Amino acid sequence: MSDFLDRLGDQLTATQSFSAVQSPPGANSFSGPRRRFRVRRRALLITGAVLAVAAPATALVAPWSPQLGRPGIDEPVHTDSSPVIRSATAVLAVLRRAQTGKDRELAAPLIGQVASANLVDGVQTDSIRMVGEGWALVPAKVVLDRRGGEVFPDQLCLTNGSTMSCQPADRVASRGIWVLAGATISGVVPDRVQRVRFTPEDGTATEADVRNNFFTLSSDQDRPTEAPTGGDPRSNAPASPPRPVNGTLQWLAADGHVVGPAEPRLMR
Amino acid sequence: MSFSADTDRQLLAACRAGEQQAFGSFYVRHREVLLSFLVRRVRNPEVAADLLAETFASALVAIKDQDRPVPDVPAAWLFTIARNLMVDAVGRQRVEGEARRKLGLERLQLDDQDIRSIEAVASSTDVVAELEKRIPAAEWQVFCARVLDDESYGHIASRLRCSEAVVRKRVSRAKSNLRTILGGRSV
Repeated sequence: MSDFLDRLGDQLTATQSFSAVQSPPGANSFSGPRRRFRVRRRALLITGAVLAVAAPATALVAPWSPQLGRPGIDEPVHTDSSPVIRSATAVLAVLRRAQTGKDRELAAPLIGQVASANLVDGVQTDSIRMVGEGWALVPAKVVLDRRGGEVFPDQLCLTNGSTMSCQPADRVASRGIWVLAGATISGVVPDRVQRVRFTPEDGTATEADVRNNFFTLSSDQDRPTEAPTGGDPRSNAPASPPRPVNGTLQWLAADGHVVGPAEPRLMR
Repeated sequence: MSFSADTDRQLLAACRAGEQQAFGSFYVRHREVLLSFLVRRVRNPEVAADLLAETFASALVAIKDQDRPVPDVPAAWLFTIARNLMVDAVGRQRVEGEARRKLGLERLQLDDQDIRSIEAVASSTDVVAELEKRIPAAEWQVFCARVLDDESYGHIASRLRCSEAVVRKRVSRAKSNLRTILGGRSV
């Protein structure tokens, strides 16, 4: 055993009783580039949304081999030509309609990230659909858990190109899919759902319409609180950090009745 | 001793939660194999020791950043940090000490005994055997079956009662993790 290794271990352990228990100076330097990326991504999504309005919807039959991952960086992701399981198509109209050129064009830049975590395989490219501005529904035959152990077959993944959530296709009727991206909750719900309502634990309920089996709504719970008032108005005192998103999601039918989901609690 | 990614993740999560000894345990689990890896790469015990210290300091700074997720495979993540620092050090002709400065750590001085000990650790550590312990068992199993034993994907899938897609994905992840740890060499 090296004395050097022991001394270094002692140093690392000792430092935690001082500065490192708090956020070490400069630790925020990691967040800068990520925020800039998000801004660029947002700009990309907005551009995509404009294109979505402009391009005509046309059903396609030609094969499609989108790029799933970064060439030379990510492991290749296989595609699968089988259709999505019947229990999912039966409750999602967006999967029953034909794939269009718009679906392919707008989904292509979003689905490149499915390979980045090396968790998804057997992407059912013929069933990829754009469900909302900047959001694609990506069915896959296999999704692994993040540590590579557990296997989840026949999944429906919802992605905006920077974040992704997958759920079992055979449970979308009762649970849907939802993603928390910043202060926004987005999700896919079955055909019978016309509106969704999110009620934060300590806030006011907000509702959003469902279109294309898709909804997106903002949760003001995630909004940072204002800097303390009453002090020097020129002060650059930071706002408090975002609070967790905790609350209840409800699916509303056309008559206003709550029809789901089976697990309404959302937590981050 | 097992070096599962699960336990590494638990240690890093405990460290983030403020448990002081957790990062020390993580350090003890990986220090020898990482030091051995660095010594073999840079062929200089002093530079390797400097890189080792900066690697663990960088890992500690990163894990204390609540905005960053705990890495899925901490060993691969740690080796990636080390490799990046090594590349930077080659380009700049010196090992940066930014993370240690953030933590207020002094650069450790090495004497002849330290150098001999480092060389002994490097020569006695079986890097491949240690790496094997750092890949999730499910991935290592299919990796060996496919790459070392040349079993077909279909045969492995049948034996493990899962789909070929699952086997392909696990092999793919094992290769990716090993490639990360080994520093870009093809596997």
